[in-house]
Amino acid sequence: MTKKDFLNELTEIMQLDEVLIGDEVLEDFDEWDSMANLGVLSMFDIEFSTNLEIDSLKNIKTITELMVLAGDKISD
Amino acid sequence: MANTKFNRVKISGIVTVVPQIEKSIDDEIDLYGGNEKQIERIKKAIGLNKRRVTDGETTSVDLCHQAAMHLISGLSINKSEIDGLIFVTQTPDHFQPSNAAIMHGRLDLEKSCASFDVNLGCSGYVYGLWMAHMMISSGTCSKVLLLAGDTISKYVNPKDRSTAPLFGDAGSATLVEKTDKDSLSFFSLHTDGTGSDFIKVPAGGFRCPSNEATSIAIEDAEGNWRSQDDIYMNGGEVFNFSIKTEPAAINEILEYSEISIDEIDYVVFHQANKYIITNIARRIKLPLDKVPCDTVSKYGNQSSASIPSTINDALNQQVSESKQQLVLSGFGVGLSWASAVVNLESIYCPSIKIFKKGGIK
Repeated sequence: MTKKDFLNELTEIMQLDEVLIGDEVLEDFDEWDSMANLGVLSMFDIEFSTNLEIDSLKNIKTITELMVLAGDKISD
Repeated sequence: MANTKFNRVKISGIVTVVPQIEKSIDDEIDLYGGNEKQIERIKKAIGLNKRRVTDGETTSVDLCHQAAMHLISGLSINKSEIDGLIFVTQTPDHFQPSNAAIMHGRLDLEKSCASFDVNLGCSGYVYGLWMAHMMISSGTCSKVLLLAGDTISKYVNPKDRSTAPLFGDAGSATLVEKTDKDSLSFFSLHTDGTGSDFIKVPAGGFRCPSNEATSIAIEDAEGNWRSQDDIYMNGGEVFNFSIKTEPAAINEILEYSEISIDEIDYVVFHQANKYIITNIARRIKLPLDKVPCDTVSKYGNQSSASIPSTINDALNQQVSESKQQLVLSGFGVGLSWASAVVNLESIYCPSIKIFKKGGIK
């Protein structure tokens, strides 16, 4: 998945009106809530075959940190 | 593999009845600590808004009875020809006798009619359809009345945000019958009992009979109140189950039936909530215009009646006027899930009916 696709997916999961550009701080969004976390878990599971624990998202502050969890599954 | 295929069995009518009382989360702002922004987020994200609930007297038998009456008159069925009756519910009038027997008496059906209950929730409609198809294919029956209805709102604690704003009540009636024309349908059935604690009413059965202690509500870590007599749902686990299981289930039924997604007109999921459905759809790249998902915001999560309700609400014109090939897929309590490919061609399918207190003619 490209970085652009990832940001589009995340925008849809968080149901934001404006597409994320990648340097946002997730903590600043009210929409970065338990539902969004579950949506991200399912994206990682199905798109990247990566099983994340919900606790591993608790310490994530930025989109950059989130993308690190996907490792080389996200390309430029 | 519990996969199977039928021919020359058709669905000829579907009716859904919802109770007259409408509730809205806008009126329950106290449940969210007065946080209007949170309510807006819930409306937009999960699609919760309004729901229909029964009063203290109305039960799943009452709702399904009116649905059956509408179906019988709409299709001009001779009641003496109904030789099978399946009642899918987890909120019966009594442990004994079955809802099916009560309904058999109310409808004054023939003594040669096989009647029984099926204890399944969100997957129950598809399971019920599968059984009706088997009863006809085996030659046992020629016209099966499938009733699917629940009143889960009676099981929720009004101070439990994880269930109270979600569940609505409804009763449905579907006629499945023998036909001489080719009419293919495909079914795939599943269970995972290791998840049986994820949606549960802990007390009230014989493992834990209801008593004074089971009726006392206790606050959980999230600030929700419920007793052992109330329904419990682990939202996170149920979401995980749904989002992992359903994409595979849809792919499986399509592969088994050798029908491509392009040949499917609509995919009708159990209406758990809009967020779950849109996430499943996104994972298998289903176009959202093929996936109705507004039922929850109007009527709530209707458990076993959510699939027929969605057909009556969102697709009634399409299935009344032409042939539509649908995937149906229910998933939930058990854990249990079931999917089907069915063809509905010019069936009797009115829009959703409102329950009439005092009965209909």
